[in-house]
Amino acid sequence: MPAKSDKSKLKADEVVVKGLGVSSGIIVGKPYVLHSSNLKVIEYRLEDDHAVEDEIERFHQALQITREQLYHVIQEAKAKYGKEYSTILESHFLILEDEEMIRGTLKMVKNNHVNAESALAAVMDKFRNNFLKSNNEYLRERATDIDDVKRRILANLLGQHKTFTVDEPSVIIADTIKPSDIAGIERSKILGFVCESGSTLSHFAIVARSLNIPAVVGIANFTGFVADHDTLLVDGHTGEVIINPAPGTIERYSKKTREIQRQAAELEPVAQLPCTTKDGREIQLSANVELAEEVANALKLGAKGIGLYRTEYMLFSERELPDEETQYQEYLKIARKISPHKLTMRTFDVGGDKIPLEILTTRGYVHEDNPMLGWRAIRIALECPEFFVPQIRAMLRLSAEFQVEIMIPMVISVSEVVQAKALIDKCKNELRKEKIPFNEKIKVGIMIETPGAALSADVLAEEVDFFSIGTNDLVQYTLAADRGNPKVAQLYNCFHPAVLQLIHKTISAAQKNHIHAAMCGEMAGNPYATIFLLGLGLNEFSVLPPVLPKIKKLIRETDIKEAEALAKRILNMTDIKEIEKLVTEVTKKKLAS
Amino acid sequence: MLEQDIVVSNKAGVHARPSALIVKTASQFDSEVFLTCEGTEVNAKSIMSVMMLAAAMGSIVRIRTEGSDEDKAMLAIITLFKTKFSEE
Repeated sequence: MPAKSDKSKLKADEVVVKGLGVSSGIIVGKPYVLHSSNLKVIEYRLEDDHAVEDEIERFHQALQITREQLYHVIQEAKAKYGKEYSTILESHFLILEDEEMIRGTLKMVKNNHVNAESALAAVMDKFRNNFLKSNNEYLRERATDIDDVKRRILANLLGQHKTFTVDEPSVIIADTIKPSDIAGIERSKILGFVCESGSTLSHFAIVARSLNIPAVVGIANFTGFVADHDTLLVDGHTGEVIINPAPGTIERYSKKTREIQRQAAELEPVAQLPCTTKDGREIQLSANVELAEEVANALKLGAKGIGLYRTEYMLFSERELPDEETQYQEYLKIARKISPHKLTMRTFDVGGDKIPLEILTTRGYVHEDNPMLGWRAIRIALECPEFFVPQIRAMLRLSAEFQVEIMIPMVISVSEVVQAKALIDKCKNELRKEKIPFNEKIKVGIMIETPGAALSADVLAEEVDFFSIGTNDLVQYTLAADRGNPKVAQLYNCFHPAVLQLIHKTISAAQKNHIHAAMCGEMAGNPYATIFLLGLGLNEFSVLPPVLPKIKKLIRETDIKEAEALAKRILNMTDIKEIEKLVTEVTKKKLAS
Repeated sequence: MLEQDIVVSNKAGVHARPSALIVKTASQFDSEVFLTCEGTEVNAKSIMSVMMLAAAMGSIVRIRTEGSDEDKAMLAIITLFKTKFSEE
């Protein structure tokens, strides 16, 4: 975060930092820093005596809060673990009250004009290092106690908390955000995200886009920089984050927000129009969702079904697998909301970059150097039927009343599909015996998200009722570029000719076998790909709710013959830049009309 | 200002618990309280400093108090040493 230290800015002043916007929208709010195990201390200079006074006051407040917290911890420890343990904590109290520590920190703030965090860290580290140098083993051991107290005070200075109970709607700040981190946070409490690492395709970025929440990634050391009392302005479009924005800045940004809303309002009438091409071919337009709360917005924006319902979230907040009835009740919520439209449910896509470890470790999961090429999705399902069977039974039961489809992720070969179908048949048999109703003709499809599956599309098509192309994984597996690694993220491009060929092959195989071809990856929601995909013969676009109107407008403006000609031309092109240039031109023309 | 030397007479010396007692006791007074041992002077209201002093049995500690209640502070600290920190 060079902007701050270079300019020696005070916290109260506006500071602009820039990252990468991964979900658009503008929001002003208070930060909530997800506890990071490594508290980062950044030194900055205080400009005048007034700032020094404020800083001293801030330090005293942090000490007071720490005292109160420690007092409660000690009371609790006494009750729970007895006196022995509480004695250790009482020694922490003495460290917290250490006159030399307090005086030393204040002296440094006054004399060196530095912030309390860096002064405290310097003073505490000096004590700790002395202890570490001691010949006495007991004293060396006490270095940990000093560190512990330092962390407690620092956490309060930086406004960080241990548990993720977000009470007020806040901008979530973290160094990394795992799906499990946000699983416990109520969605209405998330105003936005600012994350030090991550990319467009990080899980939280996808959630942010589907919920229309701004998100910015790639600002180094941000967590160490923001305090509770700061106000943040997050622009998910430009990637700018403004700490303590001036009133004029807020006004400028609200103007911008109004302009974005105006554009969205312009597209709104499209939402209620039929999704047919200019020459009358009907195209299924559906939404990707993870939560029942997202359905209302998707319907409002014109979704006629759900093409990808991710079920993994049920595992993130649980230590054990949810049983069949729990799953059924959960799925029922979303099925009711989308009915009479179809609901394509993906079986648990765990493993890879979305591992809820607690559940897998008990089932023989071993550390993977390369989790994306590891034990995930159908591979787990086939080995551990307890992952698959209760979920399939819940889905089958749902199909008695609702239009439900089963979709299996991460397939690479026909044998996997055959095995999965055998398990589904077994579940059907059981239900028949138990006289529990279900739809005998429930559709079973697979995700095409590995090059292996795309190249086997001809044989796979004979086994299933539909394909749904998952472009996020397909692109990264085809191009061997990690979507979360900023160094190679630019290689990740869905317009790479190899990716386009695989998509072409998949859709052609579906057409030959008269099965439905859908796409639920991010490419389906990329307006620059829409006309090309129509030209290949894609039947269904399943996209994040906010982009529904734009994709529909493009579909309505396109003539299939014209799209086919474009697709044919693009499939013969070899240069990504040329392809991107062409699709941009064609798409912009359509959107302007 | 008052100054007085005292010999550490408990077997274990000024380790964790005695240090804590010294700090707790010294902190009850407004006066400043210092301990000197083998040429190092530390603030008796600082647990981290007193512990680092690690005064062993038989070593001489100079106690210095300075302030409005310096005599009371001196007496309290001396008493701690004399009663061997209630350890023996």
